[in-house]
Amino acid sequence: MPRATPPPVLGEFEQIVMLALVRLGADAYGAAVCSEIEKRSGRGVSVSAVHTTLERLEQKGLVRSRIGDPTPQRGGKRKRHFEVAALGMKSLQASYRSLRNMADGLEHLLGEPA
Amino acid sequence: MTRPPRLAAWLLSRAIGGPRQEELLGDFEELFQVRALERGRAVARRWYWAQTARAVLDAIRARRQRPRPPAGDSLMQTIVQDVRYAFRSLVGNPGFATVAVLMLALGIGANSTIFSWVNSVLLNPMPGSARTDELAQITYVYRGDVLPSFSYPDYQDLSRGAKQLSGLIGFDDAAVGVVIDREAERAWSQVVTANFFDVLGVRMALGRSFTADEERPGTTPTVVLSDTYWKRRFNRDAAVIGRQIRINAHPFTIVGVAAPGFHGSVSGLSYDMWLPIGTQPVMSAGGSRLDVRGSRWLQLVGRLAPGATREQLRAELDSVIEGMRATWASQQRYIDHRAAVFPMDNAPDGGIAVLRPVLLILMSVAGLVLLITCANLAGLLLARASARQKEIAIRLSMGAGRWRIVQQLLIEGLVLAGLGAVGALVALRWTAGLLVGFAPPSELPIYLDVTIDATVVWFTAAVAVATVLLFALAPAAQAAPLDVATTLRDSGSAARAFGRHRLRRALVAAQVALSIALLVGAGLCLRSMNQAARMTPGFQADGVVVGWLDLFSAGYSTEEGRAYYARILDRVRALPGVEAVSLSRRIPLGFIGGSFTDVTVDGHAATDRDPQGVGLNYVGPDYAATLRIPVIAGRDLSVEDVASQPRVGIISETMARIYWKDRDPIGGRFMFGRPRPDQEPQWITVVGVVGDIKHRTLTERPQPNVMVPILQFYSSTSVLNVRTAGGLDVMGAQLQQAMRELDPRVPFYNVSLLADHTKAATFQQKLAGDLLVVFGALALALAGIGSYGVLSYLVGLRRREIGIRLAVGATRADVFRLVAGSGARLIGIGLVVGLLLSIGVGMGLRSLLIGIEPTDPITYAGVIGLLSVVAAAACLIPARRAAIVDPASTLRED
Repeated sequence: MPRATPPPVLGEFEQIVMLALVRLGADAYGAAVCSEIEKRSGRGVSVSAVHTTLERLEQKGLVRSRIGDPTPQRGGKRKRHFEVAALGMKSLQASYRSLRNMADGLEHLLGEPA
Repeated sequence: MTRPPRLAAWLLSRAIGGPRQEELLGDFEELFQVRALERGRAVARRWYWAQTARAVLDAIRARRQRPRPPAGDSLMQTIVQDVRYAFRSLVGNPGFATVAVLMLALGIGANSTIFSWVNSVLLNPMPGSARTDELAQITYVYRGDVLPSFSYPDYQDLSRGAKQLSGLIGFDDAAVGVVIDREAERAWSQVVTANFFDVLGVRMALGRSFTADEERPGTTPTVVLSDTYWKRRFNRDAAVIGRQIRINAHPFTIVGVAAPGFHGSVSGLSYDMWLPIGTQPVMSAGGSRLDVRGSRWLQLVGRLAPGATREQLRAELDSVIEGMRATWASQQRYIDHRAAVFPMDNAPDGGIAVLRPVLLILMSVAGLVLLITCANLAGLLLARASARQKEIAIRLSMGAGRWRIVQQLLIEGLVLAGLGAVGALVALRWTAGLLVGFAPPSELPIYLDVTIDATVVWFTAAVAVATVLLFALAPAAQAAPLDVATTLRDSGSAARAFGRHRLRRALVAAQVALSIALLVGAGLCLRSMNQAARMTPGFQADGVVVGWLDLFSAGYSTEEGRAYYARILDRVRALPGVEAVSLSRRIPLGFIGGSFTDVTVDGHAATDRDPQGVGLNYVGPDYAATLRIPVIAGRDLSVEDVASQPRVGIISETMARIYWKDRDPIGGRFMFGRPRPDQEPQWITVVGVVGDIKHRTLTERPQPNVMVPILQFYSSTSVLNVRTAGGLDVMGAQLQQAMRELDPRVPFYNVSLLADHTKAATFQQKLAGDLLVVFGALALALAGIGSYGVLSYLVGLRRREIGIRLAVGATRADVFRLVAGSGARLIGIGLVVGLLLSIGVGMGLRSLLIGIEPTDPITYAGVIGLLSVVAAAACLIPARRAAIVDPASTLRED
């Protein structure tokens, strides 16, 4: 039995999208993810870029999705809810770990309280 | 609730596809609504637009990066892909692409060129007139011969009697002298019935056409100008209407200018002006012909009434003629005449009559050239297809459908043919005009305008598509049942070389066969030209300079004219280098046929077997001597035969045989027309019998012919015939000088060599022959290259086999024989099939052949010889290459 392959490395935007999903939990869907990112990071996002990223993460098996109910605010269009999969969680943890390890001891330079 | 900007929403829905479109659009809308609530509509709208722009850019970028999945593509998309792929593969093989496109351009171009001629000459037989398919030329038929001319009273009877016609016109051509602003020039006119323009459906660009009054003699002479003449002579001045010009020394009032594009009612000729038939009496020297029933000079064209057929019309005209025969029974005017009705694209005279048979032959020949091109190209593509079998097998194994592969090969063919067609159309701008260059010198206003219209372009496109079906289908068919496993495993071993290439070998044999057929056609035409050049027309045209005189337009009376002719002859005879000089009304074998007349011969009882007419020419003294027509009995005409002397004439051998039989014709008498009880017969005494000469074609049967002195009978227009050792330049200048000194008012024009005019008699053979030689050479080259290519290719495939043969003891001579033999077999099969085809070609050309049979052995021997040389080269070079194969190195190769 070959050893399981290491979880895929995440790109920067992928990390942000995944973090938003974790933060939103059961309420995560496209528009909510976009709003969350804008609120937290203070930067505007491209809705289609968020969707492309979600789709790519799902293809890699890091994220799962299901169809939700439409709301009148959406012009009667249905939602797609997202949730971080187990593999995705591992990837996110690995990414965060490597970021933290790399930043270890540099907190004073990166503008964060030690 | 605000809505997102509609255009942006639409764009967004286009940019975003796929199964998640709805959710994504929903997100956009939700975010838009939130923004609109929180920060206002304007901000939300701006945000929406910005998002749309990004989404569109993302979509474009994604489409570029992601290869499109092959399955599920629409036909249009795969076609676009295939076209791109075809271009790429052609750019990758510039040598193949150039050869293929050039060959196609030649093959398609040959067809487009000939078709552009057919289109202009046959499909558009009377440019400028309306609905030419309703028009029909009407002629008499007398014992199988077409007699195109009618008298004016005939015209009136037929016009009244034919209910199947909505209109009937009559016309004749006349060269006229025109004086505008005291400047004289010659122009070509048609004398026409008053309804001419109305029946043909020709509008006037300016002024009016003729009124019924103007058909009667004695009314004020009027004239309608052609658009071309109006442009050239009057610089498109609208004030010409009502202006007077002098035509043949008579004042004419310009009443109209015909619409542009109309050149007259005879195909291939362009007239400058039209005169109403009522002016005929003042226009021609012979006086009024309008009330003379025996004077047949008008050609008739009718427009069929709605619903009428040509056959009904013919039957009706026959019954009208029946009535005329009964009325004029005593004069035997309509002995055995019937009517014939021809569609304009098959008119018995004009440019169509000359060009039609040649064009139809050339069209089929061009088709043959295209077939050869296709066979050749199919060979090339098959070679490429074999080289690409691996590629195709890989694509099949990866899931490409077989139809998809066939489609791609066909589209590659279409791209090639499309490029070839473009090349052909570019070349057509130049080649279409070549037809005019073939026109022989003539005193007639020859007009062959070949226009490249939409029909020609469509035809070219259709030919291109047809070629694709012919040349690209073979490799496609070969690719379709390809066995993937075998092909991928197989490294191109020699074993397949034979069975698999049956199609290519058949193509080589087909090319050889077709090119033999073409070469035989070319050879037959060339031999005809050669025979024609050697064939004596009964006179010697070489060394005779001719020039046309027009005394009538210079205002000469008959008396003055006769005297003037005598002065010209004296003057020219005295010029240095002149061996003999004479005059004649017409030249033999020119484009204008001869003139015919009824005769009554003293002592010969008229029978129904008599010819319908005898050829008539008015000639000057020493005519036989000048043209070197042998005098068989009696004498040539002389300067003594003038108006004050008894009327005399000389007759042809055939004339003597028919009318005098065993009697001695010298001293015998004949008269023109038939004796009338109220008139003393005007007998003409035969003073000489001369050899028969050809008048219209070199192949015609000997015609009865009489020649009477122009100094007795007079014709105001005539041709000066001068036999000289000096060339055209020297003699022409001397003659011009002499004529100017004698009377500068007399137009002396079209000074040329008689031999050039008599070439008109072989115009068809020259046109067909020249083009067949070009096509034949093309075919031969293609067939040679094709055979060479296929043999070389087969030798390449069999290198290993040849190496083994050599290694196990075959001599190089054996190998040479093996390869050369297989080539020779192919060519031999092609040769046999080609010779059979050639017999068909020869039969098709029969009407054009002069002095040779369609199975002319010299032509066949020449073609077989020529083809053998090319075939030998095509076989021997690959055979030699095979013989010098080094067994050791070929066996190491794999």
